[in-house]
Amino acid sequence: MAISTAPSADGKTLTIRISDRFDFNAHTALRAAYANANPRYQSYVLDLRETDYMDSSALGMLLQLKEHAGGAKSAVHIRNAKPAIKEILSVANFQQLMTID
Amino acid sequence: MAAVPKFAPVDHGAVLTALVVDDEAVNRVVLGAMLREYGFIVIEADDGRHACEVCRETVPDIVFMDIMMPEMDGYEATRAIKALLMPTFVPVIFLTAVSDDHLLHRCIEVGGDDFLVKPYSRTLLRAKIDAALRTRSMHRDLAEQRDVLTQYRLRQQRDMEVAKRILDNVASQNRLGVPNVRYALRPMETLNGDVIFAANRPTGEQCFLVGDFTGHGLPAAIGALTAHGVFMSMVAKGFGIDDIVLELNRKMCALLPVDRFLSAALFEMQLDTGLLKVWNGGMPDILVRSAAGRVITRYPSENVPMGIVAPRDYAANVRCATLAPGDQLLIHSDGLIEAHGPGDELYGNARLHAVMDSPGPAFERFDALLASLAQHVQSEPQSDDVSLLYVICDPALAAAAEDDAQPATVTRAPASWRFELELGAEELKSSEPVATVMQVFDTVQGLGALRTPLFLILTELFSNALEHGLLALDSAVKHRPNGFAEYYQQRQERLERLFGATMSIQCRHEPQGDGGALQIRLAHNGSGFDPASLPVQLADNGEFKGRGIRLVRSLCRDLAYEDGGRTAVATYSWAHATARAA
Repeated sequence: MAISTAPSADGKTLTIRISDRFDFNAHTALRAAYANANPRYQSYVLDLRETDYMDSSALGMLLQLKEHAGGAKSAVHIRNAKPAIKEILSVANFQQLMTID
Repeated sequence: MAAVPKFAPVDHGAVLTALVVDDEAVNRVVLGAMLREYGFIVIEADDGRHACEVCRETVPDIVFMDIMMPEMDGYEATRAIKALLMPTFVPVIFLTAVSDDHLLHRCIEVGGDDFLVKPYSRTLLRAKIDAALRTRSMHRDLAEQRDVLTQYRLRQQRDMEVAKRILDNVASQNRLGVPNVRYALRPMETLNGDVIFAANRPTGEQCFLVGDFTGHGLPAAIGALTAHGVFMSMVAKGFGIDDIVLELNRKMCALLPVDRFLSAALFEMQLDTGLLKVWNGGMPDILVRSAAGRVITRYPSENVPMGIVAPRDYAANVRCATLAPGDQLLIHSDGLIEAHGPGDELYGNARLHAVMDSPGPAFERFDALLASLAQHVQSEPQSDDVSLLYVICDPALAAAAEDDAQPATVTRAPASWRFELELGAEELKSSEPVATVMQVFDTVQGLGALRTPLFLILTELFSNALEHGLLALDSAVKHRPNGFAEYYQQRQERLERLFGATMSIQCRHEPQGDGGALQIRLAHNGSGFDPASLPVQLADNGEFKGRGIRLVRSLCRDLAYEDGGRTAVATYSWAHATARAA
């Protein structure tokens, strides 16, 4: 698991990439990636193109991120998820909670 | 002390003790003097055997050992002292005139920690002492940490086992030991994050919940305990799974932290009619397998798991269907599909379907599924909780699945009381008044003991008034293939469009004889019917129409209709002696 981040040019959006496994081991690093940003980002893009696996604690982390971002559906945007990851998101109906494409 | 030592060999405030073992008195005196100068308390021994005796009395902090001694040599003494002082680590430094590599190597082999070849400088001696004491203090720190961790692990394990026993006691209340149910719960740790609940409604439907909490261990177990309480009490009070889902979501939202939730599948099944109601929020597809051995329907997750969406924004999307006799339901947690075998390969949907989509008796297939999982996983460690619930809709097993518990008795003295409930269209859309009324009966008079007959009476009167009186539904629909599901679909559609309807439920209780008489008067403003058209006897049970009313008649002392069929008045009597219908 490795996490990399890239702020947008206007500083409003943070793009987070997670490679390999997105599970409870990502917790500390993911929180560190967004929690202490000052000023806060308005929205987050999770680019999951390199993510191969995701478990339910990762879903929990997405919910934490969403709450941190103010709770709006548009505040967390999941992109480039592989089919297996999309399946996990869709079983939990996360498309109702955040933007997934 | 004349010379202030440059380094003080003290440990936790205590002065350190050095044991010098040498058969030459002059060697002991020279080394002893140097060590005292460094601040050590020095004990001397003139032979290996003597050194062992000293160590039985006092544990030294460091040992200086000669090799060649008359009675017991340094090798043997070192071996003995190390064994004697286990598990305390005491460094042994050999002091020797020999420089033969093999003999020096042997010093380390027998358990010595270092050696110093004579003649040696004071500086080198100091360096060796420093190194040995550093190793000794590292050993001690590690041992302390290990002891703390061991203590902690043991305590945690004990707590876990107590928690598990509590959960097992709770789980034993589940109605899973009935003839039409098989299940498997395979927790990864002592405490399970997966749950299976089962209970019967007062009207006989079997209700189940298969759930998967985020995470494992204690937090999941605490959530499970709460969810179990909600589920069992609501099913017993007769609430439907839609109400239970909403209540569980409310509870989980209030209890769980943001990143925790409960994925669950709930269903209720009426064994005699095959009526099935299903809700899936975050669990893998629920499979329906026909008696012929094919997977005929699947209910995918259509809802967000519980504990995420605020109650005001949460809706329970319940699906209805009619099962044929012999149809089977399989509900499982994702731990099944994600169980990995050697080489990280997942069990996967393909294996599951290969088992389920094959002929074979229902329970034989359940065993085949467990066998196929075991064969795949082999001896790989489990990475998630695995749970499976397998239920057959077999009317032949219905009688055996009935609640065989002894009926409880009403203990409260019969009193005089009455209440009335007025419901408009909006209330009828959003609430299920039967369970609420039943709750009042229980609170006021302890009539919960008579839950089964009273619930049946209330449900039948209410359903008739709502479905036929206010929604003008035709029971004949139920005769068609998949008729029950179609009927409930129509019921839902018409209920959503309902406007201007009112219903009133008046209940009145009076003491009577050794017990009481309860009159339930249920009136609505919809279309009436000719009560004379109702069959009076329960004997003809062949058709669905009027069947419920015949049942009510058989339970009640009296059932009458007024206002052109728009008002039903049922009177139920009970006595302390039997607490059954008179």
